[in-house]
Amino acid sequence: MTKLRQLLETIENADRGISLQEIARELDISLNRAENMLEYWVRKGRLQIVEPASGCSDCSSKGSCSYLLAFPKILRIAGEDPSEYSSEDMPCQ
Amino acid sequence: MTKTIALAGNPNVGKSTLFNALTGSRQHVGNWPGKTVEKKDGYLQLGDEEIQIVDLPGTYSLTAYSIEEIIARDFIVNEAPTAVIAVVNAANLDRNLYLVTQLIELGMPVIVALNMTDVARRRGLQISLQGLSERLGGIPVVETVGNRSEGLDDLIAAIALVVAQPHTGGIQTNFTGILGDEIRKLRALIEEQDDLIEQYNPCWLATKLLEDDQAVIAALDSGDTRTLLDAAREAQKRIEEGTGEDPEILIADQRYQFIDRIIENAVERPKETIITRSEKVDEIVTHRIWGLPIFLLLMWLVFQFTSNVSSPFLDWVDVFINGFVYRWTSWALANVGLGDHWFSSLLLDGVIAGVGGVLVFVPVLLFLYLALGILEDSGYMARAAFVMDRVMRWMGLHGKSFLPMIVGFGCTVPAVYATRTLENEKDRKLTAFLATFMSCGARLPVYVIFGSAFFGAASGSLVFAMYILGIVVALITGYVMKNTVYRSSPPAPFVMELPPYRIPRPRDVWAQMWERTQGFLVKSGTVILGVSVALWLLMAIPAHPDTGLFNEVQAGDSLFGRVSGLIAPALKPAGFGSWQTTGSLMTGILAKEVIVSTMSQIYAEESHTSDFVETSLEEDLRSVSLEFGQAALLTIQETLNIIPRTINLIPFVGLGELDFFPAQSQDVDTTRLEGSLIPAFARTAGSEAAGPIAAVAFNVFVLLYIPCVSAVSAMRQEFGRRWMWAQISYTLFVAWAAAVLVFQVGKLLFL
Repeated sequence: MTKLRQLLETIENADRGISLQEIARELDISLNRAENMLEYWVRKGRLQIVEPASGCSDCSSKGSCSYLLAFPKILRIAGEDPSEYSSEDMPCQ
Repeated sequence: MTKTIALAGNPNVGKSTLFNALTGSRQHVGNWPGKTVEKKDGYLQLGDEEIQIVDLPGTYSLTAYSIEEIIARDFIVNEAPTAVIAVVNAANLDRNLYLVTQLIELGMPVIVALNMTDVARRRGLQISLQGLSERLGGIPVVETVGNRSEGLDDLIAAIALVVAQPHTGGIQTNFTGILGDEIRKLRALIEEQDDLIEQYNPCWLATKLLEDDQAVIAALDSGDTRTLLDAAREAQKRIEEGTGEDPEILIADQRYQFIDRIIENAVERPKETIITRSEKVDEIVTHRIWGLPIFLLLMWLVFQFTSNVSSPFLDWVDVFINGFVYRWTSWALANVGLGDHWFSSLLLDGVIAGVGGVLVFVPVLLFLYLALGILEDSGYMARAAFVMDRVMRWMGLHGKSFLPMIVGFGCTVPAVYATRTLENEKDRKLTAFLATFMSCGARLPVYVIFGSAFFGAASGSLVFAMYILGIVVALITGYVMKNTVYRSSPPAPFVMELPPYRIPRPRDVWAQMWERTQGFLVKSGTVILGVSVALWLLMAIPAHPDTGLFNEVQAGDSLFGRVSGLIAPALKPAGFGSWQTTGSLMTGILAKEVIVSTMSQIYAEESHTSDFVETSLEEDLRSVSLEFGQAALLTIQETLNIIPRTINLIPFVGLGELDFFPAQSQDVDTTRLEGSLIPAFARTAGSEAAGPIAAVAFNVFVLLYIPCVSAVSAMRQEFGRRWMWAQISYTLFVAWAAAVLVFQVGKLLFL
């Protein structure tokens, strides 16, 4: 099986959140390569980057909202229905 | 005919900087035909020849997944520029070479501009230009630092060379196995058609057909090429049968292997990189057993730091506002004949007592945000989310739920909106519900003032206990709801990128501290000021004409006092059933900081009566300066004392603590709000000994009861009125039950 496929299956079969470092260790590849392979699946649409501030996409303070800075980058398996939300009536707008 | 050079590269690698350096002011900016993507082109004077430079959109690859990729690829395939400059980030060569390999596969003359080499060097990467050039088949590799225009002459020389003698000598990805065989077969078929080999590199076209690239297939889908497309489909089937893998994935995977070999030979990495060091630390910090105790210990340290280290400056600001500012404002008002006027009462007992009572906590927040900023900037916060993910899953909750909860430690409002990261509507509602139990920054002043009044040096432990209690209540609530009314599918897996650890940068930490504290200051000048004025008015209006005149009525007989007194009996079982505490909790629904400002106003009279000592302005200023210096020294003392206090957590260890001013430590300050709280809580609790238990119960109530109106409104917007009312009712019930439990059980255990 290709490393690319193994990476995807590692994520799909994980029973918890998994770090990129753990994936790299498990597949015996460099962290950079693991990161690049994640990007490949993102481009392919199989993984999705979770935008912590997706609810605030139109908020003018989004860039400087200090509460959202703490989020690490998170990716999830795509395919589930990503909910769509209206940004109307956002209090931070 | 004008020769054209295309600039290609990943986003944010300094492509535009190089484009500007090459073309100077001779640029034209427009859009790509029929697209909204910006197109920039300009001219480079090369001796007598004018070379057109086209800046292609930033892309990671040349597949057809995005409009930028299609534009870049179509330009190279259809316009056939003389050469392509691949701008590469030297600090992340692995990622950038993916595009370079695809450019080489297109059969284009390629020049690699190895940009950002200064960053790569700082990270300890040694890149051999010659080695890289050799591994890529002898194509020119030039080192540049775009923002300093370094290496520009070498790049221009390389352009001149390629323009004079275009070459296509790049080594292409060595596709192996059944994939390599099928590419070769398709390539042979393509080479039989002259019109195709005029436009496409046969090898590139073969890989694109195997990748099932629809944009390329659409361009070829005519009668002449139908046989080729059929052959490609057959080849795909054979590859899938032979390997069990999609050809596209196989191609990408072999490209990554090819890149690995290039990197192995051309790049020397430091023996122990920042990443490997981070991994070693992570083995302990994110360990499945030790991770949680380490997280708890760090949080304990944060609250020790926040409560005890900020305490000297908290006292100083308190003395400054409630002593110096209050006294001299009072003096000034008296001197302009307003001493007994209602305006004087409004300014002193409304604005200064209310807003000032909250501003006193600026040092506390600064120290909290300093500690959190250090943890965040060092990379630990991402680990905290990772560690807590495990805890959440043990409880059957979604791991990602903890992220909005972490946001909830700052403010509940963005936490409610941050639940949008969750896919499942049920998980979203539940997480938003639980996030309200995370103790927001606005509740902190309440814990600090009570901790300081009732528990002295152990106040940090009270604050820590409140934060942990919030998490525990959230987890229990979540567990119960997830297993009863809110069953949903198991959480989807996810990947978290943990940034490498680094030494926190003072500038970034300061920026975060200031930004967050600024929010508090703005709130003090708006919401809290407004509430303080309104509260003063309600406390000045008599509930009944018999109880006194406007601004002369006893606070307990005021409109505010009487209304608060109606609800107070409900809180008696929790040990704090007075109109003062009830009133503070009521106004606290507007914003949690208001609890402290309300208490400051209610207790203002008692706090200031004993404070009037005749001193001159000069003496007062000298005293304030002296106390500032003393506060600075005490801050150092308290910082150092964190060490023995932490070690003393080990059973049977009792290290001594530093005390720079032993004589003063014996003094009990009774002029401040906290001094008024001790007798007030002793009264409501029934005895002096029960006072601290009632104080803890009050803090538990503050932690768990209805979040502020902004958070409630966010809940309504996101989930509707029904959900909002469910939350209000539940939080009120939980807060009341928990406070009563703490007081009653506390009395049984400690009295």
